[in-house]
Amino acid sequence: MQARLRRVIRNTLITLAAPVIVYLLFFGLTRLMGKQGFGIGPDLRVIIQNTVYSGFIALAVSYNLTSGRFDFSVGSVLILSVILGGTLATQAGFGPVGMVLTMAVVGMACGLVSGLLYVLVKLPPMITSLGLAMVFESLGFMLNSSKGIRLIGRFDLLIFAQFPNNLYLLGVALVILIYLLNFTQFGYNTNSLRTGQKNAVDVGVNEKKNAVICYVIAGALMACAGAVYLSQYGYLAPQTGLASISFIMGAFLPMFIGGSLAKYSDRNIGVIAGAFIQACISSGLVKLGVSSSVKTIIDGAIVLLFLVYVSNSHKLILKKLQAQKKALALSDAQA
Amino acid sequence: MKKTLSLLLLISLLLGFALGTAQAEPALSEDGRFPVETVKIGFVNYDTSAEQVLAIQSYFEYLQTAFNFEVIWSEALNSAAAEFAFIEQCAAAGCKAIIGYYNEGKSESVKLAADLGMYYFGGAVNADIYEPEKNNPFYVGGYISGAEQDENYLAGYAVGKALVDAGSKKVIVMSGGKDFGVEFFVKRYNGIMDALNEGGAEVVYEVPGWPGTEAFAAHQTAALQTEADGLAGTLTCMMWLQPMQNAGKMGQIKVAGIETVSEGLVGLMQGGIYVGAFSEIPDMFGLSIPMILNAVTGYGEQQRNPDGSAGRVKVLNWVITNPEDMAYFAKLLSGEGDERVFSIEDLKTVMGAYNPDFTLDDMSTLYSAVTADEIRARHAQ
Repeated sequence: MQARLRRVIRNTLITLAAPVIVYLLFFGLTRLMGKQGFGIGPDLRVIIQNTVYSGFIALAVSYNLTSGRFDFSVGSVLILSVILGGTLATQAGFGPVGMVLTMAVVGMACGLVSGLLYVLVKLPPMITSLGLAMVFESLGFMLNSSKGIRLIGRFDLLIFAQFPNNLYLLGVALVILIYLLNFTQFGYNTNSLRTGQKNAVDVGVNEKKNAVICYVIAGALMACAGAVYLSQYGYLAPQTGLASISFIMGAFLPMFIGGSLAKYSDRNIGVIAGAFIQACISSGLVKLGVSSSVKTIIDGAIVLLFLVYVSNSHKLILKKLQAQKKALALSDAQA
Repeated sequence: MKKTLSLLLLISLLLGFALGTAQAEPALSEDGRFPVETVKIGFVNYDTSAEQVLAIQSYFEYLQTAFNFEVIWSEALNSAAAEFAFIEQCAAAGCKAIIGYYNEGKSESVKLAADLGMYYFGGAVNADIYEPEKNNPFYVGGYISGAEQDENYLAGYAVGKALVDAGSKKVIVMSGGKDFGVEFFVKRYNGIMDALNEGGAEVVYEVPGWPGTEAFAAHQTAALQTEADGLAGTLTCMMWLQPMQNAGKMGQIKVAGIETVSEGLVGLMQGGIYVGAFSEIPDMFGLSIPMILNAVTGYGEQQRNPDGSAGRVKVLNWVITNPEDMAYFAKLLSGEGDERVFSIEDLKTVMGAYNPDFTLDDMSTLYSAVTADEIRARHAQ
């Protein structure tokens, strides 16, 4: 029991360590450079806001990408669910919660279509998702005379960019996801498919059913991200020509961090920790006065370095194990 | 006998005068449109969902009620190669002309269209396109700013001046792609800065980039923490309204930006939130239709410069600083009612088939008269 408690505490500390270190690093750096305001008051609120928005997208992408399914259509799902769901909700006179739920239903429907298409046509997911991205983009473009959705001034509806409403939304989603991933058959199947698809299928895991559910979850999460975006800016224009793909660009760093923290904690929590780190970096660089172009370079370099580390981290473990083995052999020989 | 002859002479003179001054009526298609044969035109586009493109589509639909042309709209093109491919597809589809709303291939796009036997409209404002091809008979030209200075600089200047005139002293400047070296953003930014400097206003925060990124949101929040009383945009400022409300700054910060005229802006101007907007007139691109139809129907030479080079029609855009003008322009663009910025009757005055005496200067005169008073006066005639 004590060992289990120790392990839980250790894992919690490791999971929290990275975001806390990054936060403190930028807090110290900005103070050293004489820049005030990082990570407190309104800046902390914008960090939370960015964490929620990027976190939703990273979570959505992670449910498929970690199983080898690169889904290019998630951005178009966000757009369509916001335009269609938002329009339906406003026409029906729903409040903010009703609006998010309507968007989520549309997002899940889009996810269902994506998932079914993937399992039925048996083409690589990159191909099916590119095709669907164009279809969803076009549907969003056809609605509302191609003008997207404009709710500027509807402050009663656009509440999910405000603290703590954004945190409540993320909290509800996280509770559901943690339950699904850790306490249901779907979660066990998902984890087994992620670690070894062939073995999992051989022992009877229904990969197709699991994939469809993952797409549906991703759709709902993208709709939530869309609700946060709409609340922040008040409008969303349709996009065509696969321009919606750009929505997933901010998802990679949180997702990779989430993947590396998954062994210490829940993957969903890891992704949110990653989104928090990314938001701290963005906010910190802004406070330090780094220009947009330099920031773009830094963002790319961080993702690259992290990928290099993740791809090679097993070598460090192997090296450590070999060193231990060698030391043991030497001590045995000396004895 | 003398009296009879005099009377006949007078009648024939009057008839001649009447016929001479009456608008020529050219041959029409079966459905009553000009010209008889449908003219297919390819439209090179970079963002099919852009508000301006949607407005151009709506205006072309209106023009199609009188003029017999059909448009093949490109997908969102993002490279010269994609543009060239589209131009070739248009030629294969029987297009007579290309409208270069987007031009990545520069003069090569004009050359390609000409090689394929199609007229090309657009790019007259860009020396890289205009200069090498101005003597190409298939290049019909396009429009340039009727103002002495660069249009984008003037747009920025108008935005800055609107804020200064509204009494703003501490201004947030949203610089868009200036830091990435995007030329039109740099020019707009310079215009804003000059206007603010001349008016004695101070820049309290500069926000680079576009919405949708974490950095933009962080800058936006930091900017709204300042004591700013004005916001100047090198692009639309609509994405600031919600954050302003969340920060409790709605009404405290006056806004001016490069905007697309809309009903929504009317309310914002009436509420004193927006104090100025520079807006390109989407119907300006309707100029392409008379220029192309003139070229196709044998009046192409008439719209060229005296030295034979492609015509450059001088145009002006809207600087809007009061809600009445904004409401009027929004109504014109909405397509409700008969009134448009440039009506079908206006366009007929610069088309050889209807007015064989038209000149390039007539086109510039028409497309430079864009204030609310000028439009009303034109339509009252």
